[in-house]
Amino acid sequence: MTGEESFSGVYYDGASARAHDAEVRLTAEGVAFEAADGAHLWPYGRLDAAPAPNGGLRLSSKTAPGAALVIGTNGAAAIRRAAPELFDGTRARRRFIALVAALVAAAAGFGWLFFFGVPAASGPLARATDPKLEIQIGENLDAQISLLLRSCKAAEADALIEQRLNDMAERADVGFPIRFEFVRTRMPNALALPGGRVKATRGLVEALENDQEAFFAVMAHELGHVKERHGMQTIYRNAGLSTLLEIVTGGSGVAQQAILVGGQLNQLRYSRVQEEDADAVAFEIMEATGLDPASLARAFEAIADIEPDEEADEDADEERLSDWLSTHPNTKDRIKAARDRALPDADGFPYLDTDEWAIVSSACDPKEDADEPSED
Amino acid sequence: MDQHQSAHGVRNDSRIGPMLWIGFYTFLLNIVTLTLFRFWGRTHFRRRLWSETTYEGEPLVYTGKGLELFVGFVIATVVLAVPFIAFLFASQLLLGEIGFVVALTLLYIVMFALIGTAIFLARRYHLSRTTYRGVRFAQTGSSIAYGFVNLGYILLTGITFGWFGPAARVRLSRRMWANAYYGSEPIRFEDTPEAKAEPVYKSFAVAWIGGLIGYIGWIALFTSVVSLEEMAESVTPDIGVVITIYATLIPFALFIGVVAAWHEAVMTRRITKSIGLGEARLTSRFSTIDMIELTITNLLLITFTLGVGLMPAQMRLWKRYANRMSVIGEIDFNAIKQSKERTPGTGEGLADGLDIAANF
Repeated sequence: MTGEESFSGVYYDGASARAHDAEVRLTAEGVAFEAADGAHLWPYGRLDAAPAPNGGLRLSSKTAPGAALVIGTNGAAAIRRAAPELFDGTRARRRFIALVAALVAAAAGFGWLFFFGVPAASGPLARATDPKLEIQIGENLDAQISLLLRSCKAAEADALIEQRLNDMAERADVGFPIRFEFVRTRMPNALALPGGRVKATRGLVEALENDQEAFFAVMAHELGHVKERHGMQTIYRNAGLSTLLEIVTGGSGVAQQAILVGGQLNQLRYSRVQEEDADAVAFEIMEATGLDPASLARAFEAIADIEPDEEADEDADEERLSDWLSTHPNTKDRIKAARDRALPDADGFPYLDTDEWAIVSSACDPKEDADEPSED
Repeated sequence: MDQHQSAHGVRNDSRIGPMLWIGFYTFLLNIVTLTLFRFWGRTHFRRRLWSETTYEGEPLVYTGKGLELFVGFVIATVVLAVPFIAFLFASQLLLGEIGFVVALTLLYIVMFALIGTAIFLARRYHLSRTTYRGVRFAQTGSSIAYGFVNLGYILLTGITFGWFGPAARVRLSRRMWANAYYGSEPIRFEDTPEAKAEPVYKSFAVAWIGGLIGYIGWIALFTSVVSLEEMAESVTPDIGVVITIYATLIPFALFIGVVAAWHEAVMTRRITKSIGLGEARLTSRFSTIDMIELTITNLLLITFTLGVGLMPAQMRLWKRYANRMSVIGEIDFNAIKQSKERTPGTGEGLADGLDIAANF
């Protein structure tokens, strides 16, 4: 700076809306000005400059919070010469890059939690859950799911299967008493809710062409889900993911999240990893109870064959629940895995006798479908 | 004396290019930050929009920070979203069917009450971060009370098939503005003769009947090109149906925008003309043509930029609104002291969590 430059400006003291005329001088130390309330010196290092209308500048100083000095184009040009560092965008750019980097890092952290952290925590959390609580949760979910999946009201058939499943559960140390029910859905499917509630569709028995061994193999798979507490894992996972989604995106709205969460809960879907786990546990259960694991391969083949033909006829609700295979790992791999575990000499399984199986295979009369409002 | 006559109006000189740029980089950075950048993007936009809005050559200054919005959102998430989701899960899992329905109903009542509260809190933050001539604006009053009043008005509006809506808007505006300050000076909300002369209900009737006709027309148009039976049978949404929905919705939205334009312009003037400060009061020449033009062009701007044009669209609305506004009478700025109201440390978290557009 070769000499002091001076110009006029308007000073707002931050205490009132009054505009004070100010005579401004640029000194070696900073911006000096006289106003009605006295003399001021704003050091260059503590100065902020923002554009003002008509090419002017609005200066503020960290030494005088709330106050502002508005200068015109001449003053602005002088300030640019006196304190060029104020207008060097390097510092602002660095801060901006640091901000974006921090936000990207935070987003990556959330992403990690979303894809790995929460799913990984769901297993230990599920195992730590009091079984009594899980049974209660299963009961409530069952009541809600029953609105979508109508019971066949086949008490006798349900009791026969339930008895065998409890026998299997006891021998294989599944850890929960099993409650079984046939549901009136044509798509071949079976599912396990938290706390030992197992359901099979009437379409499953049809698809398996009355192959009792294959039916109980599918049930062993569902008991695998029960034993591994996959239902509770799914609940914890969904709750965690919904919360994370809300924390990160937020803009999608809590109310919409609620709907999303509700929808998710009504369709407990198991991940491929869980399916593989359930298969592995099913093999153990079958070995422990005298069932040939190869029968699970037959079940996969039968269900895979029937699905493409049936799919076009099913209504929307059924189809959403019908993806027993589509949400599962590669069927061919599973068939091979089951065949590899074949125990042709397995025996001791408490099969139903012919009369009992006849009760089961006719548990849901297809003719009654027409009376069910939820069907077709 | 430093007094101002009404000769000079409010002015906004924003241009679309810089706003489009802010919208564009906010859009891109939202992708890589999983939308966390939105708080800073919004702040950049406001800072620019405020600084380009002037009265008597002196601009508004936005002093808010992205970090404040972010912290506000985190707080709202912790105190609202997490308990909300926990309650939702717990009630669904632990209560019976009826218990769950009751819990869900209660939850939604609370949610609707919170909508008003969120609007109020966002507004309080907005005003506290807006200064003019170095003096802050401020919003006083109870956000909870506003929330419940808003809830009551929502119910009344629903019961009356929307006909309480215009009255509710005026009453809610009164509740807001009558509790607002510019520094030490209270802002008034009065039913001036000019404000009362606006044809609020006549214009509403046109919007209501036009909207009904438009809705029936949309249903007729939609069902003539898409079979509802096929839609019901289809499990995954057919891309053709989705395109048809949007293709028919755009003309529907334009139609609604046009038939509601008169009412929207009337409401804008009705509320603006009710606001006063000291001896001065606001007036507005915002017209139906303004509203129609902005509705059509902004809708196209947002649609064809896939949402990037939202900020420029908001700017264009504000710009027209500001440039049609002027002040009648005198404001004695010398007498106005700095606001003594405590400024909120964070802002808009609740509104962000509830997905409420907090005016820009």
